[in-house]
Amino acid sequence: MKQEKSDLLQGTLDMLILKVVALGPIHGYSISQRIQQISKDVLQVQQGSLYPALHRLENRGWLDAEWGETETGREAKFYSLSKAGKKQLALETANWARLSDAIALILQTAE
Amino acid sequence: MRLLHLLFRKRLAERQLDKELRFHLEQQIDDHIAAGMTPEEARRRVRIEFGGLEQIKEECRDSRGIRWLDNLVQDIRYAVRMLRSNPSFASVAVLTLGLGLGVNTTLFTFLNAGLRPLPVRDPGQLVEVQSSVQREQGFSRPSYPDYLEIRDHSQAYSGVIAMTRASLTMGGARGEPQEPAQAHLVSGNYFSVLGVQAILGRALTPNDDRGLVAVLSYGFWQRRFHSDTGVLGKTLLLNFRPYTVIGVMPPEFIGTKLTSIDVWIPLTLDSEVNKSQVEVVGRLKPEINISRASAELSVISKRLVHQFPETNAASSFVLESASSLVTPSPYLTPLIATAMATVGLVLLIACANVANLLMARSVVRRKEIAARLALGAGRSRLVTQLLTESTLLALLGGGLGIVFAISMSRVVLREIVRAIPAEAGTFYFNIAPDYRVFLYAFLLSLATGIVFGLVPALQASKVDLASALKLDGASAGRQGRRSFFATRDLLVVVQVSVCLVLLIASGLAVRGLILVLTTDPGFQTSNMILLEFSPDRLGYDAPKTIAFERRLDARLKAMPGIESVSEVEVFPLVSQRIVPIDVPGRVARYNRVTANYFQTLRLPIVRGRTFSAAEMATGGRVMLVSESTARNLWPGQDPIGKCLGYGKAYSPPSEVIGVVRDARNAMLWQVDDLYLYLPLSSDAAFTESFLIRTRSDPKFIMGGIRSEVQALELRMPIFLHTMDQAIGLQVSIFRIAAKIAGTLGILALLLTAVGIYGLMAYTVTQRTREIGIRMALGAGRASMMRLVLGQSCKLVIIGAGIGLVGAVVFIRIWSSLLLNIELLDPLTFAAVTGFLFGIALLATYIPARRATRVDPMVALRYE
Repeated sequence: MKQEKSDLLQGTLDMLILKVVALGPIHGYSISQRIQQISKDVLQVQQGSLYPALHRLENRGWLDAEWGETETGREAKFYSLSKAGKKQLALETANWARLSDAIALILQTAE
Repeated sequence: MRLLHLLFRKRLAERQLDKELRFHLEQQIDDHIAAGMTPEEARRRVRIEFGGLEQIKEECRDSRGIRWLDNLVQDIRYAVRMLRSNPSFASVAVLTLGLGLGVNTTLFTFLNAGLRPLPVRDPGQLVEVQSSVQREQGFSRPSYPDYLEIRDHSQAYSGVIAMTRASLTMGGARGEPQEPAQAHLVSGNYFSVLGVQAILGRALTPNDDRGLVAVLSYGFWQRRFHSDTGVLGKTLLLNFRPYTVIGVMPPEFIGTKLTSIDVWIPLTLDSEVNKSQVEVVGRLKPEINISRASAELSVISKRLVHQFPETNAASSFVLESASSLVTPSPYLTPLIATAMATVGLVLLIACANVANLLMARSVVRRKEIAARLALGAGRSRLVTQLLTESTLLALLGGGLGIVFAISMSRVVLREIVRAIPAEAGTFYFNIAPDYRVFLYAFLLSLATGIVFGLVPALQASKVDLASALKLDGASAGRQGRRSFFATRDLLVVVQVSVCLVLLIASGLAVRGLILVLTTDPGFQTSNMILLEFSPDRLGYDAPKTIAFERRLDARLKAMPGIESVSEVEVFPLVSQRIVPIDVPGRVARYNRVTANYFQTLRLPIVRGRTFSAAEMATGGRVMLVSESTARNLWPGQDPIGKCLGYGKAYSPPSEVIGVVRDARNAMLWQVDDLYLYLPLSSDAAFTESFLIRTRSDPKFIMGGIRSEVQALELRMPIFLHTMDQAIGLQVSIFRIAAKIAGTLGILALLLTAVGIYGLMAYTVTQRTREIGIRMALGAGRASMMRLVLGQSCKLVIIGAGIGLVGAVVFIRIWSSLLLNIELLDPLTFAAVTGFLFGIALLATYIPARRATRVDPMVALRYE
């Protein structure tokens, strides 16, 4: 079920969330919007994946959360990156770079 | 802490989760409206996009990692409800488990009391200096001069103490009655090195070394002074010297070894201190470990060999931990292991019973379980829930078990104390349960809950949904019979076999008791009196002692009721002596006796002769040996005239001049395989022992003997008993063992009978319809009875077969560890097996009879 909802590779959603949150405190709705915008509508994050992921990351201590007001005056839960989260993001980014380089290399040489 | 926090925060987290998701919804609706949708359309779109809100919430909860906690609370609540709705099942299960766990906790209570750290400061630092020579006999200890050397020249210890035990005479001034008191004679630094404070008054200090002062044990203070706080400053006459009571020790402190103790007095007062062996305990400096201290000790013991060649020639010292009353040893550890295995078997039977009950119940609960599976409960979730139920049962059982263990261990301790003769002193053993006992009971209960719960839980969760939901209870039961049956049958087989092992063990213990009570040790114990007196306590020197002995001997022999008097080094069946002989690896028990010993004991000399007067006087190198000794050392040869060396350097060897009929000199249950009778030297010893044969009941003559001794020396400390009294301790060991084994055996039998009954009753109920059909078709009652009995008999026979093999192995292990006695007695085996069969048949008969009373009409309509 989960895989169908999300077109993302397993594990990459966590990395994308960390990356987006790294830009500054942000609430769940904006995170999904931001991912969609930046990827030029290629990636769509389903709520059913987003919120469990956020809670998981918070529980692991990679995200801090606090309640605040949005520009429209509504109360929302804002997530920001913790110290451990920063490290995790760096790690995952490096891993991703290596992985995609490797895949690209294989695809090119195979031609 | 985190748990409480999580539980407390749970409600808040739920609200916040709801708020967070709602915000997302509203934000999205707003965006859609801004993009030009109508509010209704926007709401509809978002609902579709969002999917199941509850499902998302559920996943968020899962990812928060508190899910298991919610489940646990829910499971416990559910389990409590299930047990309360079925009180008879719950109480039978809890009672069964309580008995099984209680027996185990009782044993642990005793082990814990012996093995837990001593109630002293940093018990882990304490080490005992022991002689490495003949340590297995446990009698060679450092001498007092060794102690001084170690204390003064070792760098490894922050303090070294010396201690020796002695039985003193208490009272006896001006015709006042005498009684024995067990004293620990200790070095002045004893209490300060151990770090123990008196609860009343003060402890001994090095300044007391020359003083006549005594510290009382708590038990002695209670028994003798009725816990009177005015005891300080009172005078206690010990060995006719007035000691001033200066303090009372706390109840938990009973010295460093498991022993009876009445008083502590300074060691240096003992006139024989330089000859005596002492227990030496050192407190290691914090930075020193036992191997470094051992290295240093081996250097010191080499020096001691030069210094005291006479006593230390063959010995060197080793260090052993002395952190508890009982320290594990190669002898003790397997004994403890088998004892734990024995009570473990009882628990196993109890577990099998409860597992059986649970399985029977899970058939009844099949529909409920199927319904829960159908509603989406995961199988693992269901197993967890069933396990929670069984664990809850086990914990309740464990609670009951602790209550049971506390009262049971009191009863057992009372039995043990009763078995110890009063003159052995105040035996105090603290069996009050501490946190270790509770922890043990708790962990054992948890493990038990999983052991007996897991198989039924796994079985129960293997349900074919469709058929289980459709079918009624009875047919569901039959449907499941194949798989349930195998496991349930196996449980009964396990129960029967384990029960048989325990029953045979208890049967053999009872037979051992009968054997010990009725066996002739090889000599006549009736009409025998043991008289021991200690002239050295009155400061007698050797000539004075010998003169006293001669006069007493003459007076006793002149008494009309006395047939003969002989002198011995130790009393047979009371204490033992062991010596190495010049056959490699062998040691022999021995006694030093006078020429008329064999006549006095009525122990026939089968070949040769006893010692001549000249040999007695000169201490000639001659000996008599037992028949077994002759057979073992010189098979097929004439032992007379053979030479055998013993003792230090085995020289010069002694000539065998006679062979004595085999006897049980050391233990009532064992003929000694090597036993030497050596001539008693006429030198004075610390204590003198007379063995006296009377013409009539010795009780009437004991008073006369006492007055004869007192006529010669009023203050002479004496020990006076009939031989039957003195060997009572050995008999009571068997009596206690028989009681404990019998209790365990009966408990096992009871549990097994309940187990067999339960299984058969269940089977009969399950097969009521089948039985009804058979009877309607013309099957007779007898054939129905055969049907049910046959099934049970098959199981019992298989179980008994396994049990018999197990019993042989188990008993072999036990007897080799403990008694050195051949216990494979076919009569006991047959009787016990027959008895078990009888009980098993009875347990089967009641449900079987019900089966034959079935009215076919009722049975056919039966669910």
